[in-house]
Amino acid sequence: MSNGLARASIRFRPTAFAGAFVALLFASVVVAASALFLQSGVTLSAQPVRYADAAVVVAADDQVRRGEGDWETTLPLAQRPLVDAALADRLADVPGVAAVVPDVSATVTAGTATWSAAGWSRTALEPGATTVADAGPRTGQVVLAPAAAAAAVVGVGDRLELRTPGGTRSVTVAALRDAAGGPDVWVADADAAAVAGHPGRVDAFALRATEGTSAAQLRGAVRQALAGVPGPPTGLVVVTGDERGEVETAGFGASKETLTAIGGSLGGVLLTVALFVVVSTTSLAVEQRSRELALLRAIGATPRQLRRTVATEAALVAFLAAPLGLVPGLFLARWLLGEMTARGYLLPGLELSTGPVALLVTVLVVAGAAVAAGLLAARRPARIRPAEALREASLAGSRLGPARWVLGLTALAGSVPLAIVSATVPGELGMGLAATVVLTLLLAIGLLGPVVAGAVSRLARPVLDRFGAPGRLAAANGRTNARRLGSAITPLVMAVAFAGTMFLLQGSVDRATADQREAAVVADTVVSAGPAGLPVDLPAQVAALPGVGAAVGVLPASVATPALGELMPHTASGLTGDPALLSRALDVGVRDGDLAALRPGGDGTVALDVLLADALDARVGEPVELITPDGATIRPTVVARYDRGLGVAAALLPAETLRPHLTTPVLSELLVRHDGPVQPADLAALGTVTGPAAQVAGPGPDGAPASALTSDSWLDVVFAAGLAGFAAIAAANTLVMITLARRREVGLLGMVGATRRQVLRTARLEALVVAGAAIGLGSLIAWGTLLPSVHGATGAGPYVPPALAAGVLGGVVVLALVCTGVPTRVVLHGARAGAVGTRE
Amino acid sequence: MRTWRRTRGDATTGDGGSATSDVVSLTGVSRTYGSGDSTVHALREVTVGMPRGSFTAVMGPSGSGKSTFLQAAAGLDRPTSGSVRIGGTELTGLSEDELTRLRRERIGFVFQSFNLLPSLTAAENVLLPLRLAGRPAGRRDAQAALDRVGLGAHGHRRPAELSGGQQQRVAIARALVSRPDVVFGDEPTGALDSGTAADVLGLLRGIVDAEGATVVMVTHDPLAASVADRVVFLADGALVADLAHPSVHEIADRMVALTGGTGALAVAGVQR
Ligand SMILES: Nc1ncnc2c1ncn2[C@@H]1O[C@H](COP(=O)(O)OP(=O)(O)O)[C@@H](O)[C@H]1O
Ligand SMILES: [Mg+2]
Repeated sequence: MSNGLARASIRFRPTAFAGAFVALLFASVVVAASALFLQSGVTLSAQPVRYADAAVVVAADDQVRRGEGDWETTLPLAQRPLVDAALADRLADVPGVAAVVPDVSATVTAGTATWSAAGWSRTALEPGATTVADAGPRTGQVVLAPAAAAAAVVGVGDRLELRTPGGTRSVTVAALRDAAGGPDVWVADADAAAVAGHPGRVDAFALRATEGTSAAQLRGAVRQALAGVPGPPTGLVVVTGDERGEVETAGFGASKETLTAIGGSLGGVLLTVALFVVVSTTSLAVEQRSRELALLRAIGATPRQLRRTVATEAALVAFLAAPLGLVPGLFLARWLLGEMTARGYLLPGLELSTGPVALLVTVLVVAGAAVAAGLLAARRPARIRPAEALREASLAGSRLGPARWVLGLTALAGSVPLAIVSATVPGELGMGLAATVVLTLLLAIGLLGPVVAGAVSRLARPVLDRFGAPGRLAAANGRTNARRLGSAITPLVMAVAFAGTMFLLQGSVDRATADQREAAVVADTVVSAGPAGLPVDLPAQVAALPGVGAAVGVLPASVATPALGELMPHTASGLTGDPALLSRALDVGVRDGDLAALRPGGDGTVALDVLLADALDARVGEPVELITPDGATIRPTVVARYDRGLGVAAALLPAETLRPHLTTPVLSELLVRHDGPVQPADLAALGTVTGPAAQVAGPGPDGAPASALTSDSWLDVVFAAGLAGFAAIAAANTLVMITLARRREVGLLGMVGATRRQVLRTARLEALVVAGAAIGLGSLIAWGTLLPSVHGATGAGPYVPPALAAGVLGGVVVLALVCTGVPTRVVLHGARAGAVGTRE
Repeated sequence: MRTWRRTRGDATTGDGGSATSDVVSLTGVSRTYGSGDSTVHALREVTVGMPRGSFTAVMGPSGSGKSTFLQAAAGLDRPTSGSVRIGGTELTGLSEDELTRLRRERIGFVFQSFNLLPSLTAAENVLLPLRLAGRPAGRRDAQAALDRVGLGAHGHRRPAELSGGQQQRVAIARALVSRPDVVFGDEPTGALDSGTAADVLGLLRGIVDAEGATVVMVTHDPLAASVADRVVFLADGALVADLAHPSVHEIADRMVALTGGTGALAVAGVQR
């Protein structure tokens, strides 16, 4: 029965539900995109190609695990750690093993070309092969794919300079060999691990089974044989089936994690915001129909029936809107995936999983949100006595129910400790908490909206009174209709707060990063590596060049530390060379201790950014526990604390300490300091040593090297823009809804003699009050959140890019003016067409 | 001028309501709004009863508490103190749901305006109370109810396609559809021109005479009030007069006395 009523309402006056429809449509778009990402992450699997013919693959686990049971936390590693090559003998003894194939991959450069390289034993894994191909390269020889040979213009017997992670080698081309899906270059098995920069260790072992042994049997046998055998820090995994593909594909785990994280956590924030928008829009729509609902109550609808009617309407609208959001959601997800892949956040070639589960879940989640919003929105009209409702219909007061007061004040109070925590937790986690602070404050404003609006109109009144009759009218409207004003302000505050917090946070971090880096690099020349990186022994060669005073290689890595029960990764760099010379290339702003003490040996040493050191409560001279990129735990002694962590890395260690823990130990850049002024000949000599794939940036006009900072903030910016955009759509939607519902009021104004211009002017003034309030409150929220978070992330105050601030503020004003002005004109037109009547 | 069927003797004041014959009875009903200095006494100790089959008009100056009275009597609002009985059921202490059920089964309403859901046709509007009650209600019930108010041919129209008078008649049809003990009207003719108003009043009179329905109608129009069997006057929330079959002139004079002179004088005059 209620159903018939709901359907009739929507059929008869779809415009009354247009606002909710728009909100649900956009909610569906973002939820669908998030759900698709989550689904893609969960279902992501890699078909084995290289290991397709291997029964079992043995490799290191690429997850760090700490704690046990419910307390276990995992951290996916950027790269899968290596395994000891000596394990091959033990594996060969396992019954059922026909062959053990150690697999090694590397990226090398020849001239300007970047090649994939593999050990010759890889040929034993080729389709149909049972053992390695004949006539493999001997030590010092390579076999080239014909295409690679042609590109490098070399033939059999020619010599070739190969720059590898293990150093530069002069090799002879022993043969050309064409293999579908094979590498560009094969090296001798004896050379492979060293070429890849990790002598004595390999990526994985692929095992072939003897006739009559199944993969599962072999896996069991291998696991048994390996039990108790010392392995890599994360432990060994013995896999079959599709899991072989996950081992084969470098960066698989990280991509899976990225997809799941984007879908799950970012989707969670978006869902919260969407829910917020849907609830506020539905409440507004219900409020605008309060007369109708009061009538229903008077003639015999119970509160329950009323709630059910409103919830049914919401569900019906949701079932219309949600499916329409799926296709744009799909496009959004596809676009994001493409961009993220292009920017290296994800493995190339990943496909979006478009299975029906994510889409079904989206529709159900959106419909559920709509029903919940409907039930919430109908609480008030259902609870209120019909007599009050009939009166109140024409005069929406600013009185709040006790529940809203309590919840609103709780949210307000709760944001304070959250803000404090976000300030004390460094890095990404702290910034993530900042988003929570914003959401909590917005929740408070949403709940206390009418009270906030009351305060706003009191503040605005003296100003408005100066604008004649329209001004006084605008002031009166705000005062008597605080609920409506509150509804108008809230989503716009949300837009300002999101745009403000996220962009300013990112802007402040980017700026601090650039400033710190500029101050930190005191070298006169910077060599940036190509995609293959630079070998770790290169700085020693560069240092030997005439005129070079110091050459420091930067080995990019990361270290993890426990924070709030999670393992938090931080940037880390390994530095090569004599620590006494470090200060000639790098000035990290040492607070206390001495960077010259950054030497390997013993338990090792580390220098920490002060923010990280404070978070870890680490002091100079004391050991600190760090988890290396291969999941091992080290306890180096802190030798210094420094300020410019954002510009360099949060932790600095000797390159020799980090090197054995890296799967691909290559330098990302080389900082060079010459003894005298830098001559063109110096740069040329440097270029010869570092090779054509690397970029040499000499001193610019100010004497500092011109180095481009590659910012990693693209994803954050897109996310912030998405949130702010979503909020802006919600704000526009709400303003239009509110203005269109004022038909009677505008008609009445016309009847009592207000000119068209006066009406428009009133609307404009009201829009400016809304915009002003949104800017004020939004900035307050942004600033309140920003201050602690930026301090936590950079150790400095926030930086507001003026163009961005002007853009956000201007956008808000324009949005408020347009979304009030255009519908007011529409309403004026309708009013003049004679819509002023007692009929609703 | 027509004479209306009398159902009670020549009452001059509310007699406390004899519970046996009164469909609606209010005993010492007060209603205040707000608290402290800003307390408004919308109703003060009102005691009155309406017998079955009677047509009562409630008059008084604007702000005298007419709507408050009606809402208290009809279970739309809860009085601050006092007791309200409808058809023998004490309203005090009923839960919100019980009160709602009582409204849709035993009470009909006609408001001044916005009586109908714009999304439903006239027939659907008429059947709404039955459907809310979960009672089977077919097209025939709607047709019968609309026929009774002379709108049998307009059942498929939406409120926006009906004139003001027609809308009020649909509202009356809806008020009658559940065969209520009493029909309350809050200025049901207030938004209508005099001709249309007379039609609507005739309709209300008709259901009292022909079907023995009980009608309580708030109005500020002496002409409208003169259709009733009895007119009670409210001033400043208190019941100040109760006339049986007053003429239009009597009613008008009483209203002038209530609005023209000071409140105190007017009240004193009435009580004398
Ligand atoms: N919700 C309310 N809050 C405060 N005062 C009210 C409220 N409703 C009515 N009143 C006051 O109660 C008195 C009676 O109102 P009402 O019954 O509407 O009078 P009438 O219908 O006779 O014009 C008036 O003074 C009015 O201002
Ligand atoms: Mg009234």
